[in-house]
Order: sequence, then C-alpha cells, then structure tokens
Amino acid sequence: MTEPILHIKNLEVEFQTEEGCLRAVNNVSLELNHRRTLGLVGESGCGKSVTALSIMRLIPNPPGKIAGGSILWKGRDILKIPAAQMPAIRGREISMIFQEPMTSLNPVFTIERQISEVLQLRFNLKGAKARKRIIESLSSVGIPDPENRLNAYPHELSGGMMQRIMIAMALLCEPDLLIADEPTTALDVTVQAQIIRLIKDLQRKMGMAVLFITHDMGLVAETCDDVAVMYAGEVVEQSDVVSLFTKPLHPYTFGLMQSIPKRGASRETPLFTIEGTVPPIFKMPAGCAFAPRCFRRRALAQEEQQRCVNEKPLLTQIPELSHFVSCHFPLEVQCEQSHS
Amino acid sequence: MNRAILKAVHLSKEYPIRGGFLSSKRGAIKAVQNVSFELPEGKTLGVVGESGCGKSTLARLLLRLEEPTSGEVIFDGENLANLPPSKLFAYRRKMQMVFQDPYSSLNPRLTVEEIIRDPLIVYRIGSRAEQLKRVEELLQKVGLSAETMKRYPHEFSGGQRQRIGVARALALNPKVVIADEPVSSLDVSVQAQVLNLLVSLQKEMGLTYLFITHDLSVVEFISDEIIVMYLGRIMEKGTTQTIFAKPAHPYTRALLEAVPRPEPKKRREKSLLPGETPSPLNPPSGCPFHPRCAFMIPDCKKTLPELEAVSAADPSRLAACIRKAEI
Repeated sequence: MTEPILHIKNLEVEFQTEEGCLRAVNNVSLELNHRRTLGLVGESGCGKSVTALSIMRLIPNPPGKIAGGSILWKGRDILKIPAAQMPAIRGREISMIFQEPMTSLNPVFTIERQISEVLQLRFNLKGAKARKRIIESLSSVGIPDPENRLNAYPHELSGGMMQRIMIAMALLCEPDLLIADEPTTALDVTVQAQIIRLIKDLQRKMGMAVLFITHDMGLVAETCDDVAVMYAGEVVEQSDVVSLFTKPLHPYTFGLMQSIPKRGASRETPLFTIEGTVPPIFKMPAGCAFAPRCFRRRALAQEEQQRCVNEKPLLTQIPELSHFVSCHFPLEVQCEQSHS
Repeated sequence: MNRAILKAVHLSKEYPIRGGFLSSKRGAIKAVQNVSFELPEGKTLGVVGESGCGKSTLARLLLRLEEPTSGEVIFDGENLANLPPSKLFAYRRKMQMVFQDPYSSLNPRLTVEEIIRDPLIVYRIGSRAEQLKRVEELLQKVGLSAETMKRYPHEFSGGQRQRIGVARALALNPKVVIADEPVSSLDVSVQAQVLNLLVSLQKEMGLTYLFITHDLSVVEFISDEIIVMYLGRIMEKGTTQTIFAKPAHPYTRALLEAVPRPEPKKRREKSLLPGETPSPLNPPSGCPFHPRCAFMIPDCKKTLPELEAVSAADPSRLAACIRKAEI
C-alpha cells in the first residue's frame, strides 16, 4: 500500500456570515493516489468547491476559515506551511482549472502575455525562449495554429479554446495534482468530450493525479477511478467507480443516479425524484442531513426512523470492501447496467 | 395524427452586421435559416442543438418576440408573422414561454401573487377575487402551497422559482408552451421534479410543448418528436425513438456519441467530433457540417443538402445529408 499523494483528514471549513457561523465542509476525509482520478460529486452548495479551494489554501479569510483537520500533501500538512512558502506548491505542484474559462482569463491581456507571466515567475524564462515554450504548450493542448493565437485576446476565442488555454497554463509547471472544478460545465457536449479526452491524455503522459469535481454522474462514470459523493458539506459515500455505480449504498447516491433520465426512458414512467431540497445550512438536522428527504427512511419502522433523525451516521467501511458509507441503514440494491 | 396547432414555414432570421462608413450593412448573421415544422396538438416537440445553433432565436420567432426576416408562423390557421399588434395580442395569450434562468425571469420586487396574477390583469380576466382564487389554484397545480403568495422570489430555491415561472405561463390557459432550457440551471434531483411536473401538467391540461434543450437525455424523456439543429438549420427530424435508435445525420450521431454515460464498466474510447461550430457570420459552403463530418465527400462542399425523407417508407423522418441513405 503506497502512501497517498494527497490525504485530507477531517477537514472542517467555516464561514462567518451575518446570520452566524456556517459550516460549509464538515469532517471530510479523502485520499488520492498518484496517477489516479478521484471524482468529487454533489449538487450545488454541497461543499465540493470549498474542499478544492482549501487544498490550494485559497479560502478567503475572512470570512472563511479552516476550522480543523489536516491536508497532507506528500506527507506535509499544507495547512501548516507558512503562507510565503505556498507559491512553491500552489501552481507548481498543485494546479487548478475552473468552471468558467471565460472569467478565468484576464480580458485585457493577450494569451501570450498571460502565459508568459507564469513562465517568468516560475522559470525566469523571457523573450524568444518563453515564446517557444508557449507555442509548445499551446500545441500540446490541441490549439490549431498556435503562433497566430499568441496575440489573441480571450474574447476572440471560443469557450472550448479558452479552456484549452487554461489547461495549458495549469500544466506548464508539470504539477503532480490537477484540480479540475467543473471544467466542462460551461461547454457544449461535443467540446466537453474533446476536453475530457485531452485531460485524460495529458494525465497519462505526465502521470499526474486528478481531482475531478462535477455534478454530472455520466462524467464521473467515464473519467474517475474513485468517487466521493458529498451532501450538505459531508462525504456520504466513497468507493471505486464500478462498485459505486453497480451497488450504491447511500440513498442519496442512488437517488442522484436514478433521477437522470435513462436511455430509452419516456415520460410514460415518471422520473425517480428526491423529494424536497437541501436543508438550509443554518437548520441542519441533528441526525443524518439527508433524513428529511430520504425515501429509504420512510420504509423503516418508527424506532429506526428515530435513529436517522437523532443520531448522526459516521462514514464507515463496509467489511472487506473499499466502500465507505455514512448511513444507518444502507441500501441493498444491485443496479442493473442498462443496455448501451 | 393530431391537428397541427403551430406551424413554421420556411422561417428565417438574419441579424445585420453594421459598421464602417455610415454604418452600412457589411454582412449578416443567419441565426435561423429556412426552418419548417409542424407541432401537433397535445404533443411535445424537442429542439436540440449546441450553443449558437439558433434554437433560442427560433423560440423567439415563434412568439414573435423577434420579427422573422422571411417565412411564416401559423398558429391555429392564422399567420402570426404579419398580424397587426392589436390582433397579435389575442394570440399571445394562447402561447406562453418558460425561461431558462429562474433567477432572472422573475421580477424580484413583486410577490409571487403579483407575478402570477399579472397576466390575468393584462388580459382583464375576472374580478380581483377571482384572480386571487386562480393564483391559488395555479400554485397548487405546480406543487406550491397558497401561503407562498405573499413571498418574494429570493425566498425560494431554483426549483421552486421554476415552478412559479410555470404557474405564470399557465395563468392564461395557453394551448402551446414554449420552454427554453427550463431545467438546465437546476440540480439533477430538482430537475427530475420539474420534468415530472411538466409531464403531468401536459396530461392534465392537454398542453402542447415546444421543448428546447441541449441535454439529450432530457429531450429523449420528454419529446414525441425531435428536431436537431446546427448553425441555424434543421439537420434531422423524426420521432424520438427513431432518432435515438438510428440517427440518420452524422451530426446527430456525433451528438449522441458525445454524451457521457453512467456506465463505468462499459468505458470505451469515443470517436470525437473534431473542431468547433464555425461562426454563423461566415458559415462553410455547401453542407454547414462538412468541415467536421467523418462522412464528408467532395460534393458536400458544393451542394447544400435539402431536408428530405430518409426513406420513402417513412415520410416523417427527415435528414439534410446527401449520404443519408448510406449512413
């Protein structure tokens, strides 16, 4: 068993707001091994992006604060590294790409100027050498005719092209970990397929680990080795991708998968739905955060239901499997792989 | 076959590009080109395509929120395209729209009651008491309680806001509802709730839907028939089943192939569509899809393929590709 390259232990992130202290990430633990892809899935507001920003130490403070836990990066706790030493890791060993390539690039500078800033800061490369390196990096992410793109401004490029440039910039320092926060959500499906292929190819070539944040279960199935499902700031289920999809244990995971219309589905059969909405963060239930919406709970006996409402379940390992779930009464279903 | 309640006949929309000396016309963006279809009463027609394919412009043309450059929109036998405003007013109430973004499509300064009641006031329907009763009824229909009437949009979640948008669209008992990406800004668990609501309202009220989306799994779930658009033109049209089982146009094939599937055991290398959608300012010659098409032959660069029946056996199944018979 090799030591994971990234090991998050019991991470807690809080934000001070007018209405009080808001816990966005609650006791989250994750492990990511070299060359692997870990998917972090969940719906808006579940804490997946805040977890990613914590790894980069990019939580704005105030109002945000990492209230507890540790983030071990190659054995060192990122949270204890002096701020002055962070740039040696951030951007160099760990890089990040974001959901909106349109807003991630600076609209008033050319592509060359933005990429050369990275090269100058990190490698002290300037002039013709820098230019050569930029052209190389642009062609490695599949940008056609890179020489002529150097003087382009972001608004002259399509969303897919901008995301390619973001990837080129993120990978200039050959990081060991790429955090991709919804990298294709703003793109069309055919372009999404291109970008996903590009990330996978570069991962294979450079041997980096990828933390892939998404809300799309289809993308998780196609790109990730391991998956952590988050709900209301907590990891509710964690496992390798195949066993998650064939045997989801948490009712929320099951519900997420079932509420996407399947191939061949028609409106004659209503879609499976998770009733209600995520509870407001200030009114989190004392027990399981998912209990108020849980279809599984409603099928239980009265005293069992009380347990869901009153007692918070912990993320526990299923014996003999690398499958973790935080549910008092995990599901026992086998999901059929639908026809292709 | 049900009667066609809404028809588009050779509908086109160009936006002129002006600039240079005295702002002369330098070119045109052809947003929608020569689009024709029929929407049968009580059915759902799905319009799919990627950004910039003209699907939202098409919706606006059908409601005459945009004036078409040429072509006709026929609603219930009347051509809306050249109807004077006084008459258009009477038709508008029969066609309503549900928008994509439930955050910007509801006025934040009005209460839910005012938002839903507004169309009833504009069309002077009923007394105040009757209108309030109707608002209550509509809220119940979309699954919200009557207590929500006095609250403001910001107090609701995205899914609840979209329900309010649906209630507003249904206030005047329309025949046709045009829904432009109504679920794409919602989380999947909420998306399923809103889709189920739209389906049950259709059954209950006999509504006809034009459902615009970029999400193929959603369109398969909700539609009877599908139109696939690319660069302002219809590439393929047919029943949902045939399009998903046997796509006739290479673009439809590529779209279906690109959708990620939740089946980790069946992972495989996809064949990717190369390049990106060309600019509508300067569309390719011949077939607009030819630069990205795996089935391209020299003729594709020269001739614009007509939207024609794929085979004589099924005249409702159309594709605009010169090689449709081989593919």
